[in-house]
Amino acid sequence: MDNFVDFQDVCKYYHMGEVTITAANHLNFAIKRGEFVVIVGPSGAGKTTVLNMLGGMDHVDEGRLLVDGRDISHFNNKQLTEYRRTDIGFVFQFYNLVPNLTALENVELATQICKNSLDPKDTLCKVGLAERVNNFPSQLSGGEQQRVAIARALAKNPKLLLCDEPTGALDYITGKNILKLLHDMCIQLNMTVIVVTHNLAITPMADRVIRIKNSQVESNVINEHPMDVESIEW
Amino acid sequence: MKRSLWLDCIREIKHSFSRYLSIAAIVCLGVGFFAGVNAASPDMIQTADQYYKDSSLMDIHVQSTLGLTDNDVETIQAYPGIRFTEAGYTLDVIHDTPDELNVIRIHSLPEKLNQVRLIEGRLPEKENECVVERGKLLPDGFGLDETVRVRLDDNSLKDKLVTDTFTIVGIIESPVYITYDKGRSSLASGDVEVYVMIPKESFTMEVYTDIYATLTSTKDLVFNSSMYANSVESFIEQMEDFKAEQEQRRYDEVVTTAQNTLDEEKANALSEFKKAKNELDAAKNKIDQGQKELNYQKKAAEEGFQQASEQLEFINETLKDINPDDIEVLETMLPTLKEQEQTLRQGLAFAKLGLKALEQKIANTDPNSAEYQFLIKLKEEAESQVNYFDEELKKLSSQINTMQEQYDGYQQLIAGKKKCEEVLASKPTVEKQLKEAQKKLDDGRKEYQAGLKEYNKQYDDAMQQFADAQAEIDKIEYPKWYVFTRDDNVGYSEYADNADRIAAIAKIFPAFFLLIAALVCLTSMTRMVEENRTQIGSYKALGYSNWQIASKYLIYSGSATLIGSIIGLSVGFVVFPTIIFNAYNIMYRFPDVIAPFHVQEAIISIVLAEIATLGATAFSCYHELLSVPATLMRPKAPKKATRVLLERITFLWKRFNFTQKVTIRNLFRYKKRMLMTVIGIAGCTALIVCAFGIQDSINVIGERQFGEIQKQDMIVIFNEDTDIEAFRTRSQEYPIQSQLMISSTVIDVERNNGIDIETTLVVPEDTQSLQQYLGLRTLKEHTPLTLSDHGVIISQKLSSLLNINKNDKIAFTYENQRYEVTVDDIAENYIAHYMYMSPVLYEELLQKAPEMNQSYLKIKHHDTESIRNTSQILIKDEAVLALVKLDDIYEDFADMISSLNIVVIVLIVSAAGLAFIVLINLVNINVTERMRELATIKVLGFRDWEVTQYLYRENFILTILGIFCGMFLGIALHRVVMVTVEIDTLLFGKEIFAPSFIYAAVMTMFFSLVVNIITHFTLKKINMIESLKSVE
Repeated sequence: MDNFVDFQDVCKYYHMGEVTITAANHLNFAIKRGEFVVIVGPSGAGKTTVLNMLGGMDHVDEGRLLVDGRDISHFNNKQLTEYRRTDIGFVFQFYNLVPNLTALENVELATQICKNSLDPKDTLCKVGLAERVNNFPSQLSGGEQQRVAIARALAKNPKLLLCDEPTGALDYITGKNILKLLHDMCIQLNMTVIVVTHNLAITPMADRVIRIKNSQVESNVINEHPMDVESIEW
Repeated sequence: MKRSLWLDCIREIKHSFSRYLSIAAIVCLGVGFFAGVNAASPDMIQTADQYYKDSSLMDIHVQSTLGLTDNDVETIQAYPGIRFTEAGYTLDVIHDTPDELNVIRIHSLPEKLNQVRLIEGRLPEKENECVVERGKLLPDGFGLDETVRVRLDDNSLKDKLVTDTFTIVGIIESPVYITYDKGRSSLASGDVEVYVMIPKESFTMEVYTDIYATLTSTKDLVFNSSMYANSVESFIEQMEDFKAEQEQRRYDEVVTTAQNTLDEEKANALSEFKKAKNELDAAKNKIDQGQKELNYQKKAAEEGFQQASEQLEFINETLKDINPDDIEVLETMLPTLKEQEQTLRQGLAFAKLGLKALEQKIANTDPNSAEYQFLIKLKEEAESQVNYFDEELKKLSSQINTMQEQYDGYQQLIAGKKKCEEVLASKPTVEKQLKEAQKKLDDGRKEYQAGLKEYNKQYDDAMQQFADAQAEIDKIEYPKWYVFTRDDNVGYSEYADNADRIAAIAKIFPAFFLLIAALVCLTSMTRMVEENRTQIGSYKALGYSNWQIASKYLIYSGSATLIGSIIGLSVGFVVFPTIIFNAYNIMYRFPDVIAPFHVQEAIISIVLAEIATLGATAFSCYHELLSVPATLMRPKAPKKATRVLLERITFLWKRFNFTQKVTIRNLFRYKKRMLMTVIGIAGCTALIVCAFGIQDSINVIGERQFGEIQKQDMIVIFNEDTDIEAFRTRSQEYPIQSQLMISSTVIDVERNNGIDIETTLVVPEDTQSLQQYLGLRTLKEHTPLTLSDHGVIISQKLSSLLNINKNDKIAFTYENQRYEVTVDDIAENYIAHYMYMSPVLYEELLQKAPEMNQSYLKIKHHDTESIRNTSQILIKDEAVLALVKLDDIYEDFADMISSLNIVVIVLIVSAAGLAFIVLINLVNINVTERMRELATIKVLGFRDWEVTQYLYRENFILTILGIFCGMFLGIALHRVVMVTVEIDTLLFGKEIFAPSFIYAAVMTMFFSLVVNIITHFTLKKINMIESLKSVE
């Protein structure tokens, strides 16, 4: 199978006045389709930069970034928007639900802009929120909110599901459940899922673990025997 | 306040500079508008007042039907209360050009009062130089250095001016003419086209035409103050006395002078006639004498001839008896005898001599001597000799005498005969001579008679002339002084009215802007306080007092307000008065506006603005300050999203698509902002609706009043005591389609507040055809109204001022008599007050027939040229005092309206400014508050435009809502403005027409669109990374 995501010498610099910060320093790694990938690294290592570039939220300064065979590193804003729209599902650490939309409506917010979207209600059922469809975010617990967020990301039927510290704001159990959900979805929908986290504990469940340190890829390891989420503890 | 708090405050300003600016900007707009529009009216008044004072504009202007003399000037000047007087001349002449008939009004150049403002060139120095007004649309030939030739049709110009040609050396403005209307003239078509001023010396008129005066009491009064009006009024009342006196004096003067001149002329003429008559009489005497003499001569001649012929006959008869021989003897003897006689005489003389010698000797001889005796003897002898000779001589002498007599008689006869014959021979000559003399006499007589006839004729003529002249003198009307005040020039009062109107507008709009400023400030500050929640908590935790914490926000908004106010004031005090003044100056001719910085108003404005913004700030941080620090440190619980009412109406809710649902939800979520947006937009729309509405309301006056109600082309005002029927007959020759005689009088209608309303009472001669000239109709349905004989029709505004309706009684005073009459109906009317009455009712009520003094005219072809021609014909008619051309009035009115366009523009620009500031501010708050949400949807893959739409849809709906509310607000605002601005004699239309609403909606939409386009770019800049940040 070809590399679904392929970082080829990707660099990213941030200019803070006189100082140039290298946020990505010749990143090279590849991810295969359908993999559940965990990108780990300490704070400030450049995980978020990777996520931003991969999510089409930021430009690539140098190198090539191929997603599903397309080089997105030279995309302009418009192309990036289209890329985000059709190819990417994004799960935020703080869920980022629109507070005055119900769970269903938050999902619909995403589906209405995609062509091949999934049914919002079904998706919500899939993430186990059949009962809470018409609730507002403020009426939902953190985990439930994150489920809505995942449903929102999934409902777009993206090629790539990006999750930024999806459990960061959640308690242990809920976090586990969310990870399980993500893992299940990955398998059920054969979706490539990339989870960015600083929590090393969750790496055993991943198909592939990419470690980032000092803006560089420290290791890119394929986990031959991913563990079940239930059995992981941290 | 602690230094750190200061620093924080300053940094906060720096950090959120756009917010700071937005507060300053709305305050700037609000305060600028508030102060500027409020200052406009005082500035207008001050500008005018300064102009009047600088140019020493007269308070009183006197004219007299018989002119004014130096004595009048002195009398007025000497009257207590008079400050300055100046006499001058005014003369209407015709511009001597081949193609046009323009009336020029010539004034003498004033020196003290009504001083002119030199715009270009210089003032006239020579008698043939003039200055011309800076007018608009002056006829050709009135430029600098051009020459103006003037004439008068009756050739009387040379008695009035030294020359008829003037060179224009300067261009001026006079405070007497503050509008472009220069009044009417009795010449040509009646309108004064241009005025010029020439030196006083160029006038040769005997009397002044005008006296201008200023009063001491008004020296420091503002021209439109009631104090001024009272001062002038009371002075005019005082003037009544000496006015009458001067009138009498002038009358006497004129009449006496004329009478004296006439008497003198008459006396002279009479004496001339007497002389002539005497001469004639003398001639006649001479002729008569001559005739008498001639007759005598004739008679004498006849008698002479008669005598001569008789005598001749007699002589011839006598001569027949005389023997010619005897005559011959006599002729022979007579000389002989005369010789003898001579001899005898010698002898006698000799004898006498001898005797004498003897006597001497005797005397010497002694008588006793012999000799003596002898001598005696000798003497005796000598004596007898002498006797003898004596005797002989006597005899001879008598003989000679007889003979001589005989001869002489004969000779006489011969001579007589000759003479007679001569006389008879001269007869034809004499007769011819006599005939000639007679002829001469006859000629003389004829001449005399012709002379007499001529004399009589001349005498009669002269007498007739004198009689005429006397009649003329007797006819000299008692002079009437007209005392005018500034109020008599409508321009002055109109201008003050306009200033009042602006002041009225200033009462409404600016308050509105201040309110909006307060609201904007409220939302901005609320947002700021919300953002600073944690910080407030920290300060509280650190132990800062509520007051100290609040002071940061108060300083923030207070300083923004102060800066905004100062900028707003410095701009507003100049810009708004200037724009408004200049707008009005299209109609007026004032110097540049005086737009000072009104300190008092500035302080009031700043205080008001500060109260509004600080109040709003205090209100917005009040809640947060009451919370305990712990609460503040925690993120604010997100606002509970709730289902909106609409969702419960499931069947409707289902029909909405997703985005619509989102939009509706969002709308109801941010109620405060929604309200603000709606208010802002509504305000904007309301202003525009009001602006266009004002235009509509005023335009409608012109269109209806001059198009649909007053359908006459012209109104002819007749001279007093004119024979109307004669005019009617004459007018058949004029290019008139039809006319209706009316009686128009001014009556005072009673009002319950005691101030009577001056109303024009119109009584048409024929109630049936009135409708052709006056579209009397009901207010709403526009049903035509006809006059009945039972009641009157009154105009709309009168009815509303008096609160009188159909079938009510209306009371009025005319010629000191009070009358009461029933109101039949109310007629649509916009300008002035009218009462229409049928002639029958008039006669019944006033006990006399209405006196027709005006005529409503319709001309054959309604175009400018025809109107001009007809008016030129009409003004020459002796019956016509003045003409009112409806088109002219409409035009003047339209001019006045056109200046309102600028007010409309000011309002629209302000509305736009309001819309922009409010919308941008609100959108910005919206964006910052929902930054995370927006970043998220961007991450979700919303396209830029979709992101904009996400917000715009809300804005759009709010805009629509705002426009909708704005329409109603606009209607209300318009009504308030109209009622405030309306003056007693005008009725504005109350409707706003559909296009105005459409314009307002479209413009508001446009403004909101522009704001949204700006927002679009703001949104584009939102960094998606924001979505990854933790919730604060």
